[in-house]
Amino acid sequence: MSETEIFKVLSDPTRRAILERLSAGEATATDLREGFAITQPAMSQHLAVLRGAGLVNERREGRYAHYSVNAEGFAPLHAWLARYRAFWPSRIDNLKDLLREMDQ
Amino acid sequence: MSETDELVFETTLDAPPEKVWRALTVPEYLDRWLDKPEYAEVERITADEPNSVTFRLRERDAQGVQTDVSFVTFELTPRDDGGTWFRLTHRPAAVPAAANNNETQTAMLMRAA
Repeated sequence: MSETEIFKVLSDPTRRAILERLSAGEATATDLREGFAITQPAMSQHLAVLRGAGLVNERREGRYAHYSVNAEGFAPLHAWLARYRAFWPSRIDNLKDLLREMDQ
Repeated sequence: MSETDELVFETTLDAPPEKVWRALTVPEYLDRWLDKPEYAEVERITADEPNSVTFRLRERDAQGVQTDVSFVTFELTPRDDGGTWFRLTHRPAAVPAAANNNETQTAMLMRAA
């Protein structure tokens, strides 16, 4: 999954909120619905998208599915951020050099 | 810079906003300092002279397939000493600006990952 697809998945506020909850620990779909004004099918749909993007893992236990954050799934996003975190400071230095060379 | 899904860089520049504006918008100057990677295309999409300018950045892989679209905004604020307060924000296209308002939530999410 590319960083662009991951960013697209994360552009939904409900999905961000679900991930925030899961960052506190594993939860079932029922746990996750508490405090959200969304239906069970809607929650299932969001969890399916998050699983499809590799951001969330599902663990089956009897009739319950437990969901958790899959840290590895965020790797492309971290790579994108790391690339530009390294890119811009050198460019800002270039800009400062150029400003010194430019005529007023 | 915060640990969110947008990158923010801030600094002071020893030149007035009008001059920084030219460095950002005159193509010959932009090419010189931006030294953009081969795989990227840069296109100016909005401009409010000399306060802010936004570019669209398109990246392509070795096969020429578009892999990533993002927006880079430069904001220039005059300083009392004649210089410029410079703020650069780099945001992936898929992340709407409004979604970035809740920085705490995003920061938590990134820490979780």
